[in-house]
Amino acid sequence: MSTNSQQKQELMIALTGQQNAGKSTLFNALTGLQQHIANYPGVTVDKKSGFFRLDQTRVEVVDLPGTYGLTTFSPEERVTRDFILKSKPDLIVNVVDAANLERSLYLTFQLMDLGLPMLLVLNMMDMVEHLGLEVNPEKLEQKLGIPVIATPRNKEDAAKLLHQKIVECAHAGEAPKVWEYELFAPQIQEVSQSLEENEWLSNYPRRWAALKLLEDDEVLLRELQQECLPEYQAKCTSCWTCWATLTRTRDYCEKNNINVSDYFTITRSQWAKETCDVAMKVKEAGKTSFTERIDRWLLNRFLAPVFLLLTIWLIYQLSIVQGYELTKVTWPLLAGMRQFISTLLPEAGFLADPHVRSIGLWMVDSANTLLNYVPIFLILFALIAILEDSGYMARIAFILDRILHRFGLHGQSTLPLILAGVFAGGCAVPGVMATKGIPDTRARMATILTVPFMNCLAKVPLYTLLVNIYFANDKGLILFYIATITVIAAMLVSRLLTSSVLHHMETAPFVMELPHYHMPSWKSVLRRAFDRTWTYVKKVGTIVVAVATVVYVLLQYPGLNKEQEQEYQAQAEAAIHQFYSKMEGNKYLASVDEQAKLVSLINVYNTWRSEKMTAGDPEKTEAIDALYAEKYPEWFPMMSGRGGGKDAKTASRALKKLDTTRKTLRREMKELRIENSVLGQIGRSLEVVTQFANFDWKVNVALLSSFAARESSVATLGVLFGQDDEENVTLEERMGQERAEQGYNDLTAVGLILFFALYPPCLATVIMIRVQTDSYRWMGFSMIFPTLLGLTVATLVFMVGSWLDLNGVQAFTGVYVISVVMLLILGLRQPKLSESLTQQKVISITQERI
Amino acid sequence: MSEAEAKHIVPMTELSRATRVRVHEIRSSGIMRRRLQDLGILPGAEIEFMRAAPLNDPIELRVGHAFISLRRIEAERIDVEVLP
Repeated sequence: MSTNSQQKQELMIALTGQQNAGKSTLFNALTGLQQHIANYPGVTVDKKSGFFRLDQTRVEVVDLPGTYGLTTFSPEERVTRDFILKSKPDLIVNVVDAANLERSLYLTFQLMDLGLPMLLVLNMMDMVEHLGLEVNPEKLEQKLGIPVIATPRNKEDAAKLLHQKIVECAHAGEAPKVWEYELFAPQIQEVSQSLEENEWLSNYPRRWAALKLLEDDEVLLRELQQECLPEYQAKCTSCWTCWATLTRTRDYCEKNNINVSDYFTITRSQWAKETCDVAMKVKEAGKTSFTERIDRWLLNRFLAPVFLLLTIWLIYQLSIVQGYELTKVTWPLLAGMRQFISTLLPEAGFLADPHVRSIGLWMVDSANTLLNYVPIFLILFALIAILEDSGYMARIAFILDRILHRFGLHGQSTLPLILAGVFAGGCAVPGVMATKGIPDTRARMATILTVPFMNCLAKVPLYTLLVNIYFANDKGLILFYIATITVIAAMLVSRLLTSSVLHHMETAPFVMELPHYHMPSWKSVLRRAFDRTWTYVKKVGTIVVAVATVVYVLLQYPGLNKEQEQEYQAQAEAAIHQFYSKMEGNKYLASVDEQAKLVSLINVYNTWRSEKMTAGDPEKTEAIDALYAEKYPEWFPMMSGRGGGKDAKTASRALKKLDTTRKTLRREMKELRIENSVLGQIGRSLEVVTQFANFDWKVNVALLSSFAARESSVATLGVLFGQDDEENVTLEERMGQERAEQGYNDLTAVGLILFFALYPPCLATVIMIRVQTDSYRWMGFSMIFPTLLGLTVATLVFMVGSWLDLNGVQAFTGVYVISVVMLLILGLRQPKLSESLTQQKVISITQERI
Repeated sequence: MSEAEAKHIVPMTELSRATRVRVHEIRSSGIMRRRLQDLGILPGAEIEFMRAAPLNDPIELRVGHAFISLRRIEAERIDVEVLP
């Protein structure tokens, strides 16, 4: 990692500590803004690193995951252990929750066994005072035999003092004091000596390797077998000595009923107790902690659900409701950006626009729909960070674990589900990301696969559209169904998956610490909110824009054929001809004597109209008029029909007519182009299957394009049902009307809503699933399974509904009741298998193999 | 049996209200045993049963100054001696 010189200029230190020890805060304090987050290969544990400089020295700080021990049981422990062993940091900084000193020292002693230079940082000293305790760093340092520093109170000084101490300790490079495990001291000595003589396991610290071999550590035993085969025992004396010691120890332990690893653990716990007796004083005994006083209320059997619902309601109000208010402020900014970019792009033609313009605007629109949600996400993520930092999030997991566990999920699935939008509004991308914290592999997979069912913000426009068309009278009821049925579906699907495809997966016991309540620091809350939003903007932004382009191409090509092209050209020319014939003798004819000028006029005319549309109040409208009158003195009378007498009125009427014809032609061409397009053909060929749910090719195309980003579905439907640029309202009417003509009804709408709720995750989510599961197979599963499920449900709804002659509301109610009944049946039945038992079996089997 | 009775040793799950207890034996193995040890739930340790969640499962314990929650199925394998 770094070069050896007298005093290293480049140092690397590793931050370790138990969960909730305040490691991340310390990491931020040490490195400021210079950090980098990546994933460890093969596991979904974040690898955070950053650096700081002190004089001439550059120090890289690696923040290892929070862990209780250094075994190989959990991914966090494996990552921590492997990193320290492989990268041999210049200093291990052990962050300790001083309020939980005794327990924290268990890890400290395990780290000391590694024999690398260490520094212990005492964190949470304010909590120590609250609890009526006193910890003395000097005494702790003396007793432990490693340097100790308490995090200074003053935040300004803290970083500097810590930087100095860290560099000092790293340069000193002193190995920690050896604490001897007395009962096995001779064996440890023998094995480590034999490792040293033969240079076996030379990558590991010797004493540590000896301890692990005596503990029957799977990994090390396997590695030792590779270097020194047990079969060689007869021929090779050193092999014999080493294996003989190990075997002898094992036999001895078996006979005396001693578990080596238990012995080590208990010894460490005694050391920890001894150390605490020296270094910690109880000032006020029996003080009820602040946390306990709060929990008497918040975790009260009857009040807990009330507080929980209140919290969820508050989050919903503040982020979704208020956030939407905020988007009304930010949307004009985005619209202004679009306007600005559109002026930079080549001008629109009469019938067909230059490709650069169409693609450019398409990309801007795709990005804008996404960026529109940023205010909502900022608020949502900030609130969630407050929940996490305050300690209440863990309590939510505690309250809900019983229900979630019944369906194969986990208490800690709550956070991902909330992020993804349990209460209508969220995003599955951060939701899937947040599954990282779930320690149980099976529950984690189930969470990853069900999180996309939640109602993400982008599903809302389609729901709104369909509800407005078909259920205008029962809006409230249907929206309630939509909001809750997704959660029910997620539970049912999770139960289905965990008892089928996920059945063989590893589960872990639920052991969770409920941290002390803590006033969140606004800095860390904002930072997390910005970080998560930025991940959303970055990952989703790049992927969605890229895929939007692909979808655009698939929707455009091969385009119109020659005859169609010529036909539209002819119609356009006829319209233009008609315009000119109406303009005969008009005094404004001179300003549009060339066709190019006419096209420019139409473009200016449209921009003017759309600007007036968004202006709102009459004052602004007048200002816009004045601006255009000044900028285009020759054209303005034609556009407005005012200030030019009869000629202006005639010209204005002719222009309006021409514009309408142009729009109709363009819309028809667009529709035809989509119909001819690759995606259109795919949509058509899918009708074979989707006809049973009564989805026609237009719906299919909309659903296909929504894979890139959910919000595209409404945009595509808009085009297919002939939405004009400024006529958002008419889409609903138009769609309703057109669909009714084709025999569609509210039953199809119910099917479509349910399909959309169960529809596979959008591309960005799918990519996140690939990252989090580290498997293309699961990524594929996450797309195929929901499609089949959604289609089945939609088909059943349509077929059974038509057969029983139900209307949409009745059908939806039916589906809802059936789901709730299934939920209750499954929820009230005890799961048959005791999961921890199977888990233990797995472990004892792996141990026997060696 | 008589010793157990005299000392009043019960599985952790028998408790229902806040009670101070001493850990008598941990009957789980593997990862669970290890995890409990990591958290300071070791034979001889004095801990406190705090409460059960609103739906009765999981339960909350106080170990030292830390609050730990466990599912009943796991707490069942921890035998404790109820302290007066």
